[in-house]
Amino acid sequence: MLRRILARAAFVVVVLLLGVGSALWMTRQQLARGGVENGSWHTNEHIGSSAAGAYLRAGVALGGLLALNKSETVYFTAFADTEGAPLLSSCVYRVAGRDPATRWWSITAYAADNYLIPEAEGRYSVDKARVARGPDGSFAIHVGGEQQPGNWISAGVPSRKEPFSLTLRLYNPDPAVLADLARVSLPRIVKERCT
Amino acid sequence: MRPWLRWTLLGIAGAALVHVATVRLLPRIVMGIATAGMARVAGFNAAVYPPRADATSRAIVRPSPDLLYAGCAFDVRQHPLHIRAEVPRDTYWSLSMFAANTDNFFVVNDRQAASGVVDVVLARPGSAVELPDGARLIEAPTWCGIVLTRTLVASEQRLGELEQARRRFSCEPLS
Repeated sequence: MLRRILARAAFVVVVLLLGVGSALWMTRQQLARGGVENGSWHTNEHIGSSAAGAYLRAGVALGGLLALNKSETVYFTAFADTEGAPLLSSCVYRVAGRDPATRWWSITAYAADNYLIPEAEGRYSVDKARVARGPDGSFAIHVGGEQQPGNWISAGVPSRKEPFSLTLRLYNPDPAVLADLARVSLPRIVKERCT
Repeated sequence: MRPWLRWTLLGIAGAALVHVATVRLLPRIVMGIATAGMARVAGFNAAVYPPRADATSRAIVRPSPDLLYAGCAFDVRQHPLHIRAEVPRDTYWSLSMFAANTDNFFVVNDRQAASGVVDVVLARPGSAVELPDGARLIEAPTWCGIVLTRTLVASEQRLGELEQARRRFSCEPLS
């Protein structure tokens, strides 16, 4: 009798774990791999919209709650570099390009738990107003655990090899951006070195 | 049917049901937690002015460290909500509203609010509302949710001025 009760309890636990686990896994893929792909960056044109599907809505709830709809802001997120390797705090990346066609942009690093990464000087982000540019207007931002001169965003402690992600926010994007999210020119994320 | 096959099919069907229920319920659960968290600070239908986001911030995922936020958790079952905000000049600013299922059902930014003030009343669809002079009616698709303003701090030198403007955001029941 006891054996039968334990077997059924185990069955229910396995069913719950499979159901919830698969739902959370598929939901998290929405921000990491779903929607529109542009180099290392991903976005979804239905973020914040009433047209969003169930998985996207759940993904936004977990990884981007209170996100604005695309007419106001487009959110691109990158979990990997241009080679497809996961972004890690033990590496230094060069994020380089030109200003996206938008009123204002920013690039911010987030830990795997989707919160800002602890950093003594608060170097959480670089944005359009504060980025240092070259003579031709282009910029290069170093991202990683090891502090770099110039434009730099902290990505955690190098020795911990922690995964992190980058969010590129485009506020009041130009119509041309909204018309072709997959091909609009965005900064490239190139790994320079790892420790 | 053999017992192992019956249990396998039952397990697959059960897991599929749990999967669908989790995906469907997750937005409302997460939004409910965020709304309750905001309401714990000042109650429903009252403005909150959270500190600027840093690595200790845990209220909302992926906060922007470049923005000042103000907001309120709304509950329009009893009364419509009167929302007023001062629009700061020469910087990005927006006021947005989110339903209980996470949908961003309303947004207005500084370029669209040329008068320098946003004055709106949030109410349930079909409510009889006597609008204050100059106010605009917005219908809430769900009875609870979150109102949020975002102010870009493009220069730290403007922080004091922008903070003053942020504090003029108000949320109060329209009686």
